[in-house]
Amino acid sequence: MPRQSLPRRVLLHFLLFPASFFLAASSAQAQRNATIPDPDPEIERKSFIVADGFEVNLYAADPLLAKPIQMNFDPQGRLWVASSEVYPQIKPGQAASDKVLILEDADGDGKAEKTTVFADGLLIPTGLAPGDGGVYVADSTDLVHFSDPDPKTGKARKKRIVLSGFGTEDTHHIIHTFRWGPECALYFSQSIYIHSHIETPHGVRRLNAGGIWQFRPENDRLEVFARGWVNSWGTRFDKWGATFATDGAGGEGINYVVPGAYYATAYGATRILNGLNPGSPKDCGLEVISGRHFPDDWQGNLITNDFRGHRVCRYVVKPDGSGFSSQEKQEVIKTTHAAFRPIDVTMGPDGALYIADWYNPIIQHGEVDFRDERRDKTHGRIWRVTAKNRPLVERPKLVGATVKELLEQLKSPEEWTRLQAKRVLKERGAKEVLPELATWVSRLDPKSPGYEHARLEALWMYHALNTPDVKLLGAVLDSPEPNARAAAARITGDWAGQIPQVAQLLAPSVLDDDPRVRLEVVRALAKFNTWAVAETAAIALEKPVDKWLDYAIWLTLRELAPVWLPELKAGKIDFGGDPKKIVFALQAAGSGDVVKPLLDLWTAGKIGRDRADAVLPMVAQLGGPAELQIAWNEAVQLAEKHPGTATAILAALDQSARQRNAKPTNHRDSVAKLIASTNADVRLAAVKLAGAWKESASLPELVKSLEANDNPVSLRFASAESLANLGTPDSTKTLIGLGAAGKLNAVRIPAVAALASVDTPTAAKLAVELFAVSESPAELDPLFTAFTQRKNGAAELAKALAGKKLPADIAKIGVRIAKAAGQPDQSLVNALTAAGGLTAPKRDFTKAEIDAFTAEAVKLGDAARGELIYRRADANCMKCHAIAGAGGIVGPDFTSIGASAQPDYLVESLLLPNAKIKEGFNSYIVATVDGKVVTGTKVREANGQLVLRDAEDREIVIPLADIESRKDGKSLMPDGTTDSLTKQEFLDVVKFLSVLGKVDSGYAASAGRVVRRWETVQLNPALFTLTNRDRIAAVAKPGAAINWVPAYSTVSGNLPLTDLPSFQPHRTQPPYRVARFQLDVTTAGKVKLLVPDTTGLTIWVDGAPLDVAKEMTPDLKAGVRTITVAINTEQRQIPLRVELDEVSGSPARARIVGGK
Amino acid sequence: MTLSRFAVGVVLLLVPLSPTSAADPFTFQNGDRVVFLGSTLIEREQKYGYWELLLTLKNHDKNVTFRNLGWSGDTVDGIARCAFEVGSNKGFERMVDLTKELKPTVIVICFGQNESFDGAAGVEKFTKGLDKLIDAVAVTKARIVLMSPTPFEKGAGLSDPKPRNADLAIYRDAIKSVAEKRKLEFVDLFERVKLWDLARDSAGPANLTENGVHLTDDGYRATASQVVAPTVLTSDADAIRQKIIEKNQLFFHRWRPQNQTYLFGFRKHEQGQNAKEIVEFDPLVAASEAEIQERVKQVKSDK
Repeated sequence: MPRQSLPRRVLLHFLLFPASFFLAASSAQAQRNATIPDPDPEIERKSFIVADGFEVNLYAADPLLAKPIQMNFDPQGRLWVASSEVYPQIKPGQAASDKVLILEDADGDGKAEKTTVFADGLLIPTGLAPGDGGVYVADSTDLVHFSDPDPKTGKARKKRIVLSGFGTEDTHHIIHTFRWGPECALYFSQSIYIHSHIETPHGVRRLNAGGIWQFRPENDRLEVFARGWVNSWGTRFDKWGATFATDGAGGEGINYVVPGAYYATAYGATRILNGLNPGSPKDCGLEVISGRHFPDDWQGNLITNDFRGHRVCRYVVKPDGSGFSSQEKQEVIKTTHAAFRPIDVTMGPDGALYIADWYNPIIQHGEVDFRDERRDKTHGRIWRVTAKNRPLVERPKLVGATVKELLEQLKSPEEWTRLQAKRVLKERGAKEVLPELATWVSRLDPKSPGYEHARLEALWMYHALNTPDVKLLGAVLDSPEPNARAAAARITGDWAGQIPQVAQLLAPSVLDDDPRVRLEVVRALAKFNTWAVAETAAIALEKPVDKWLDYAIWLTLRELAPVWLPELKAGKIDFGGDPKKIVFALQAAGSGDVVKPLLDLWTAGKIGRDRADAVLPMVAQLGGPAELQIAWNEAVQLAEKHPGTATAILAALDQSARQRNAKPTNHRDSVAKLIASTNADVRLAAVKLAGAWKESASLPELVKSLEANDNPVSLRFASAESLANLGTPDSTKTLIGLGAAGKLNAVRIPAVAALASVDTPTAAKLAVELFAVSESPAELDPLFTAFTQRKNGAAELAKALAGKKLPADIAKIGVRIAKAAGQPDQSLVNALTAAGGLTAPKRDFTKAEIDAFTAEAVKLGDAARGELIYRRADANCMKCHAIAGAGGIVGPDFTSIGASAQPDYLVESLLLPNAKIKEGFNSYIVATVDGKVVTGTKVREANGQLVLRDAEDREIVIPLADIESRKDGKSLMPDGTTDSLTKQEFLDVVKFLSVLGKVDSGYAASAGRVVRRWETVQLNPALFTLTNRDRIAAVAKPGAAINWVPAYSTVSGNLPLTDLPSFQPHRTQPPYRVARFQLDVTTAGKVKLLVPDTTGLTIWVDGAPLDVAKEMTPDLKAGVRTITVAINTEQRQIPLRVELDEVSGSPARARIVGGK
Repeated sequence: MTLSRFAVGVVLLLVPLSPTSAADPFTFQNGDRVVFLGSTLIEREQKYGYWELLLTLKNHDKNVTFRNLGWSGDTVDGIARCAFEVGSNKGFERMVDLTKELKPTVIVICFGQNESFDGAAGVEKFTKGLDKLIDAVAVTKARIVLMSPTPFEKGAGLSDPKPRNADLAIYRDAIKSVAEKRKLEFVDLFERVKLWDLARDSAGPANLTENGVHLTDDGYRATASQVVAPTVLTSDADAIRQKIIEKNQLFFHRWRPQNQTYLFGFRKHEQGQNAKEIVEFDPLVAASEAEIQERVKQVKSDK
């Protein structure tokens, strides 16, 4: 889109709007009510778009139930529902009146006809699981058990507190998602804001932030099963016990759960695993399709709910190395009905799929007032999804059945039946069940197709009865079915406390042919807590290791470090003398203790020189002065021949100096020599190191490096910064000289920016001089930032600006940066406004004004125009926000924002970014001891470091010891982000966001795998040189020196060609546009690329040309593959679209790389 | 009004009090405000109310009020109260600040069970922490009563409680010596519940603990008799207990409300406007307390 042809932007000066504009406020009430749909369930049902071959009926609705939060069936086939009308917050004087309901469909017609209130007086029960003669329920800080129903009313007469001490910092984070595992342990979760401290007979268990708990009521054992996620509102086990989870605010779709692993936002994580579908909407609830009622191609599919987008989603998961891949398919249900909020999903006794519909136009209580009158308190539905023309499953009779009959049910094709049978058997007790269980196992027919699974079910049954059977365990560990072996490995770990010697059973399996078995074995070994199992776990490194296995081995060795590291240091163990294992283990341990044994092995020649890249950076990162000296000497030696290794050592030395003030004993010489290295990476690392070490002898080289014409900008800035770090009067004087008039701006700007940290007033004076002569406002960004990120920096700059005049564009950039600083200095904003002759836009808006805008946006906004504005580079939206995973990650993903947020919330958030902040996007303002002020959202905090992500998407590492103060900041989105929009443009953007993700709006990102995140070339002389030599094919060459910049498909998935620059590669060739994308191939094989229209396209995979067709099936190697597309500008104007699909029978697992 | 002795077993099995000082730690002065500090044992008492009931009845003419600040999983360092400030001193500060704010005249401190999992190696740290806590709340000039935790019992998850109790005994001894050193009253629940345990096979209720650690309804009822003198109860007593539980719940919503993050924490700019509701619990607590006193008077005057 030609930017210059757009009408000149009119600043949104709200103060100037005519009074009539505010009259619209009186209609605000009407607009609010308009979002409340007709509560007739049939109207809601008719709005459903259901997957082909399926239908939906109403199982239960208000007044049979209200506000269902979680549901689980009992073995009788009754549906237990946790229901809360108190959510989100109890009012003073209000009784805690929430309930556990039982819905019954006695006649089996698929409709419940009866409700029993089993328990009441609860405070926002967010989870429940029937069992042990009653029901386990989440009740605020407690997990309680109700039992002993009154025969007349059905109401429980007994209440027992089972566990106490769960945090309640947020009522949609409190313990939730209760599910029985295949071994009848109770799994439940807590979310990111919760801090729990639970006393058990086995010690206190603490979980800060999110995670999944595992509880065994029979022996009061409570453990953390996995950590992390924002809202882990879905947990399920597949047929073989592989574990999956969803995140109601995480946006990575299905998560494959490795036992004990850490996921996004986990407290104390140094390394995390990610979900399988990055860029997905947020999901709530999870179920695995199982049983005869569903068609074959649905078996094992995962069902979850995009409750924001009013969709019930279906994912297909397939084994992928030691983990899984996951792909979204056509929805089970989607609708535009604003109150349809599917939040839980479960298979039922009849083989149908049941969906709990919370039924509320308002979700969340952070963004929307606790007492907002639009909150629904009375409705709620349970929907039932059945396949047309397929018989239902006969509801099994379990409760009155004999033990023998129940054991036979463990062969049932329905997971529902198998689990419920185990529940009933467990409650019968070990004494009654064990003898028959042994007989049942012995009589299983080894030739029957279900034999391996039946044996696993029996093993789970022993587990459920808390009675280890080592013989059967050994047999299942030797099963020809890898899935059974994987499950048995996990059980072995669970029995670690009961029969320690079972660890020996696992030893051979650490080299199992199946990677996922190896993973479960490695994780199970961690439970034994001996140095011997650490050595066993490291043996897994002898076979290929993918990201899941690498993580599992790392985690096990890390957890076991306290037991094996002392043995290694004492020379008692050596991991079989295998340097690869030793280095891996020591890296996993990650403590300073590893350096000595590592260096001993290195100097004794037990680790080959070819491992220098693994050994020396670790020594430099963790060692003491003498050890750092060895690393430094090696770096100097390696600088020319192995610059990569040398750079890594230098970076680690730099980190050690800055983060723990550790330096080599003697480092006087050679830094200067390395600054003059021929290798650019070594140069940069050495420049930084000179600063970190305050190596004043290197001053002349640093000056040279700053002034050298051909040095890149980053090197110049680093050189200036290191000069400042030297901290001598001489170095400060030098910087003042370099920053003064007479030098080039490319020298002055880094010099003044660096000077700001040592002599702020002088730097401020020089900066103001620079502002006046700058010809490119963009180059001043880092200069402004240098002041706003320093204590008193903004104030000094404001002082220096007094009475000065600035070009308006430069003043605007300054204002923008000042406001992005988290604690904007008003004096600087005022000084810039005055100096630039800017008018101050309105900054406070009343509720009436916001309502008025909202009403106008709904009426007059145009979503299509809004999308174009949203995509404009100067609107800065995509820099921070992604749609379906394509775009920045500084702010929340917008995939289904329109379906989840009310328009008034959107207007308020655009005008007043600090009013409401999505969880996980609140910022911290951290002041360091050396005077820096960093504002950003928390990425992680562990190992003595805090990592923040700033508004420019940079990760900034701050040693905890350097933090002087830490305050809660606000949003990273600066006030006035929308100032550059005209009023109509603003309304259009609101309209676009308000429909984004709504089904059938035309702005719902499809479930298919379409390429959304692209890169295109930046036109510059280097590109022309390359293409002049090698023609257009040059752009596809791996590693070509081309500047790539992001480009994004529209919500529909098409990439508009006008977003890509056109250029003529060579006088013999027509003009072209170029776009490329990446595929992350985790298992090699053929994949399908679909291009609906191939006109004018040339396509390469990693530089190799592809025969262009509507369907292409390249055979891809594992790793990240780049697909480059050249578009002949003369032949093609229509947008580009590429979709990824599977080739049937191909083992390939690939996903499109998203992000910024 | 008919008299019923719902706590017959309690009366029968009563073990005489033997505090280190001669005075009965639970005989209160007129207008006393009692604050309880501790972990699950204390936290759950507010939901059962037996201790508070018997203490109320025993001191029926003195208008004594109780504030339960127990927090599960907590230690003398206030570790469980840190919320978002994990690993900081904030939990301790919160415990101390709130205690001071409540203007207590008596503070009952009961920690040590969670710390006892650290064994003998942890006892020095525990003692220091306990001293620090006592010093920190000393400014209230309240009378401080130290209480030991109840012992571990055999349970589904604890086949042999002996090693656990051996460790816990070390902590009990530590609490006792702090009490002696500082001349504070000491209530030895560890020893006395054990004595009771010996006797209960013949006549006591079946289940003292849920899981070998935490008291059941019967457990609280029974221990109530060990912390206060037996009181003859009328059928109204249980109604008073229900009222006490209700009052405790109101106070819980006051000091430990849900949604802290939005009301007072780093997202208060979003829903902080609703924090004004939280202080509205104060008059409700006061009204509930007045009702308790009224009922106690009735019961006692009926006698």
